Amino acid sequence: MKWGAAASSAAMVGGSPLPMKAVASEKKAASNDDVKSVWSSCTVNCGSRCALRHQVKNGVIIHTETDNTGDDVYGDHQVRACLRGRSFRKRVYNPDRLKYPMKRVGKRGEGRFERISWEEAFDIVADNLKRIKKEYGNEAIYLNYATGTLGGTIAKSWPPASSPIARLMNCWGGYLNHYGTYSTAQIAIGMPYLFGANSNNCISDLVNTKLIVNFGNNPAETRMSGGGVIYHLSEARKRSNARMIMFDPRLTDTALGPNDEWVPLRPGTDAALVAGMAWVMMTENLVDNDFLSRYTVGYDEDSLPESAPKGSSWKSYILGEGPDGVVKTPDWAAKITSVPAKTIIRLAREIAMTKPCNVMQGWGLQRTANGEQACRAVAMLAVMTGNVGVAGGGSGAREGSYSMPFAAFPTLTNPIKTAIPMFLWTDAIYRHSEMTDKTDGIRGAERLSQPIKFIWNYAGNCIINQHSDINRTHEILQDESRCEMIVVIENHMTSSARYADILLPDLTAAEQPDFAPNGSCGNMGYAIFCDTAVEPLYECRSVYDMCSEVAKRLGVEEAFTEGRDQEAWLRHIYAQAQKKNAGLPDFDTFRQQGIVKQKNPGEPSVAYKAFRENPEANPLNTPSGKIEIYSERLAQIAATWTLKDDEAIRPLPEYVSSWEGHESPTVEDYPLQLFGFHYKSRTHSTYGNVDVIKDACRQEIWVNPIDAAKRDIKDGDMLKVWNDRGEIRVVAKITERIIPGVTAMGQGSWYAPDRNGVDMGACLNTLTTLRPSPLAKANPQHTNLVEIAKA
Amino acid sequence: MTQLGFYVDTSKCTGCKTCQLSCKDENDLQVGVNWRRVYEYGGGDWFQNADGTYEQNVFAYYTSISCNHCAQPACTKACPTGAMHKREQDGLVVVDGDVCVGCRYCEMACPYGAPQFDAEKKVMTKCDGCYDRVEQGKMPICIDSCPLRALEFGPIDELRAKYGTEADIAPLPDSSLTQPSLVMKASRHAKPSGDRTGRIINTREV
Amino acid sequence: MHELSLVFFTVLAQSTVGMFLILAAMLMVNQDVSRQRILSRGLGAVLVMLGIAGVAAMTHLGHPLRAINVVFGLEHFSALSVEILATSLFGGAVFTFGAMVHFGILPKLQKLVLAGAMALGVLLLLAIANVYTLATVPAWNSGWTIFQFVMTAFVVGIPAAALLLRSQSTLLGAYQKNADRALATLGFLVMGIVLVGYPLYLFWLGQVDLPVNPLGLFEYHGSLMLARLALLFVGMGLWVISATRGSNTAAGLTAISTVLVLIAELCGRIFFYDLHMFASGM
Repeated sequence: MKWGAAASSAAMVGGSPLPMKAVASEKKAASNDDVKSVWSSCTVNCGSRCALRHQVKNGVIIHTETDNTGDDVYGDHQVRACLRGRSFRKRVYNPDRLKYPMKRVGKRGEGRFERISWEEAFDIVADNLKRIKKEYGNEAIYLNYATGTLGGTIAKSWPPASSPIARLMNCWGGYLNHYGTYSTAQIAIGMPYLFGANSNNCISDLVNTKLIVNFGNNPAETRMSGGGVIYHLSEARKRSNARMIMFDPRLTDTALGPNDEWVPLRPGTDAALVAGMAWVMMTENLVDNDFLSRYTVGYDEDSLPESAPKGSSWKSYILGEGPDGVVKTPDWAAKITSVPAKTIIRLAREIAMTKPCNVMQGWGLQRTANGEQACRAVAMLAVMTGNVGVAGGGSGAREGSYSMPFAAFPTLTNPIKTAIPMFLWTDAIYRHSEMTDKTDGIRGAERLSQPIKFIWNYAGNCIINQHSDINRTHEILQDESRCEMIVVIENHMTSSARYADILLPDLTAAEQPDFAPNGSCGNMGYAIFCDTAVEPLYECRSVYDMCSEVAKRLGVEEAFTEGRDQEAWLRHIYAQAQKKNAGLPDFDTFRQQGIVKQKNPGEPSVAYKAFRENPEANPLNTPSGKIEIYSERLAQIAATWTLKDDEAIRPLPEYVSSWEGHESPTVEDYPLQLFGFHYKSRTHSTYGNVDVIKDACRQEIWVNPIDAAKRDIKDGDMLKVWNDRGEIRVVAKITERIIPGVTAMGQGSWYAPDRNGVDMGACLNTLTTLRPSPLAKANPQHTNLVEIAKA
Repeated sequence: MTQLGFYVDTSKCTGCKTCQLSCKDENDLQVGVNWRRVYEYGGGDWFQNADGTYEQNVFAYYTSISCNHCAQPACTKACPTGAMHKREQDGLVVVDGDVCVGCRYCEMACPYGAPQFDAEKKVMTKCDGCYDRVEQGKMPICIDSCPLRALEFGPIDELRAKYGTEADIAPLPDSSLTQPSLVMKASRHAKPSGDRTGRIINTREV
Repeated sequence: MHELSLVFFTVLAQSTVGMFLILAAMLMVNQDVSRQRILSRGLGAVLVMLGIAGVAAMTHLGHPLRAINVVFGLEHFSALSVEILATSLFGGAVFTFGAMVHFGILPKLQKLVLAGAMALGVLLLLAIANVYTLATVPAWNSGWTIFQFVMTAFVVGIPAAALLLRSQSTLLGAYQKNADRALATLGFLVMGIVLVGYPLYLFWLGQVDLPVNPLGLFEYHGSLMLARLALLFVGMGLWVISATRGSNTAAGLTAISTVLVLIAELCGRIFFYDLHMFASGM
């Protein structure tokens, strides 16, 4: 009877029509007539670049779809967005969205701001620029490394030298340069000592390979686009049926395919593994001697340059005839790497005897304390087996891709030539006078003449979140007499935005017109027209607009704008692009069709192909023109630079045990290695505030069951993870997919300190160090030791 | 009736969850409501040798599962209102949110976790096979979103003719329980339904 | 846990049925008209408890106002629809019988209605069990679910019935004392069955093929089960021992016993719902 009573009350309430139908009917959202589809792109820094089609109704994005053009045949396939791009509107309509210009009222990092007008904001910025220029000169003005919108053309944050900020500063006397990137610093500097460049075969070339030897390249999480590298890896291998050997401390999502073998090893030990395999190849006479003698320098004593001391060849190093006297046997390598000797022997034989074989690496192993050495060591497998410069082979660097010709926003020339390593900007704030070419890798000048006083930070999170040692960085930034002004241009209240003195609200890619040319997509080049999907939200303005306003106040408006607005610039740039690329449609057709794809007219690119075909006619960009296994330039640097006792720059790509590695004394206090990985939930820190993605891909620390059992940790436990630099809280993910003794978690989670400075946001960089790697003077963010325990 | 169903290639799937998130975007689903879920299944053991080196037989793979629009759905059988019903024209199992009383009994019964309670609307919701898109000649949103092209959708007879009848891969239940309209391709690591050597690793994410 | 309202509904509904069956059995064999009236007053308590159970069930619904829609599920014999129908019919039958006795309507048919209500009570116990014997939920899909639900009906129903009788002890006189002793004996027997049956159930549970050990699901389960058994035996024991020692009229002690046993069963039911898990672990 109570059911009857409920029913009658339901009838009285109304709204619920009674009687209900026994067979339910379906209703779905009304017709799509009033929904318009607008092409755009996800311009964040993942290396892929995906087409988005925002579905807009009444001026609001209601869904986001992706490339739907063509028949989706591999090679001419759709550039499908990943989970992040598909959640783009959650960034546009995010509760963290900055709404109007603000100035800081609390301490840096406190996040206390006061609303100001745009006029006031521009005036403050311009006045401070003038004051600092007058006092310290343009060299005190710095454009911080920032990649949040690197895929755009005008709204483009990276390289900072290609951003509208650079153009603005170049119109007004310039700024302090930097070189290197948080992504690739060690390999970008290290690899050219070997090859004169840092390139590998196009990923599409895997159709020609028989074996892939992969050191930690994980496109399933780093280049996830359905047009990009992971799709190419999957499809190209399907065609070649190539086996893949994956060396990685984690069983990554890339290594789950058919025909894969995972070889877990300790972080930072790749070079030792290579040396052990080199010993097998040498002693079993499996090396490509013809290749080595014609194309390389320093493989054996005969090919050493004159300046090199005796016993300094690669062969001497491996066979124990070098200065260290250690024979690099598989047993020696096994103890360092944790890979059994018999596995090293088996794989060395397979790698040497399977041709062609593509040796590749990701950028994780070089983002370490001795990354410059390790990345070159990996390439030695390709060199010893003669797989360089041939189709189906590979150089050992990261995969290549084709870019179709397009044009860029002209940012003019910086009159200032001095450059710092991008990682040392915090040092340049407080100890610039000590920084020279020999101590800190200063380029373009012998020493740094001015400290950094003014920082432009457009679409970047390296002020705090993505730089190292957050607690120390925070301390450096607290002294407002040192770095006097930080201007942050952002969409959201990021960790870095909290450190702004002036905070300017930027448009997202959905609110302004732009081009997004060329993501890493194998043999297929493309460009996307990013149109204005919705009108600017709140008081947000475009970065170009902001720069124009500051230019006006600095008296360089005409030089900066050349009389153009953003749309006019796009038409101007597109006209330049059409001159370079006759295959481009006219501007309005491009706008309407959204994406233009152009396949590489030739075969997939093969790195160093011309050199391989004729080394005399096409020498490499090294002093000898050959592959420099022994680098005289590195020997020179090692001899002249100021290095600490535990820092090593070696002419050979030999293994060097690193500080805070698993062989360092620090393990007594902090027994677990910790490294970060690019996590599917974020591109670095971008998308880190999107609730549905955070829920779908949790920020958790990977712990092997053996390490967990030792500490009585269960899956799902909240852990504290700490070292001398800081402490975080993060949930434990107990998984066999990581080697014992090692922990890992997604990098880029948003720093969120509690009152005691414990980072509840689980940002990796609360635990990383500001100490740079020896050669590139760059971020060793995957070289960390920590301890973990139940919180 | 043409029964529609899904094909899932677990050998291609990298667990990227684009299917899950594109579905959430299309259907405006909030945190906690997942019409499609990606299960990370894995296990294995580590052995330490005398010299400190390690050997292992670790395995892992992902299965992307939404609703399998079963031939014998446990949810419709359980549903006390008929809100959860199987469409006659295409066999898609759909819930009518205007009739549902929100008793969550379908959730208790479905072994695939397909019915998802919407705490705001207080009714059950679930994958409806994007029947409105399908009626317009399009694919469900998840299919067109897959970066690895590991998902397909269509008449289940055709999918079975093309790919076989495998639907018993862990962590999925024995397919005889509900006769799912699902065809799977096994990953090299795949274990059969009922496997007890592995486990769902990402329990907090599904 | 979102099943908390179901914990209350099932335990209360089952307890109500148990209590009713005992009262009904006494009514069935009773010939004295005035005693009949006194005993049937207890049916008011049955209806109140069933009402509370019903309210608990309603709070589980996302849309209680649409509850009438559950009639549509009868078309395909939805276990839940059948359960709800059985609850309503049972309540209706109890109410009808009570009204007939109260207003002296058709005295000759009263026992027939009572028998019908008893049958519906048994049907309700089975209907609730049927809801949870889902083929897809191994830890529930067995006769042990019926065992547990019937067990709840009696371990709570018996002291609750005794409590009702004690509350009328001055009116019922010696009849009540005898009945109390008889119920205590029955309670003692039921405890014996529980003592054998429940460990067997747990043993069976340990053997079910599941991805995780159902006996090691949550850390609090250990203390929960311990509390449950302690409450059950202390609750039952207090009343049974005092009753067998000749204290048969004090309502306070029996009230405490009934409450303790009820809490015990609520604990047991929380454990039961926690076991919801598919063989797949999905």
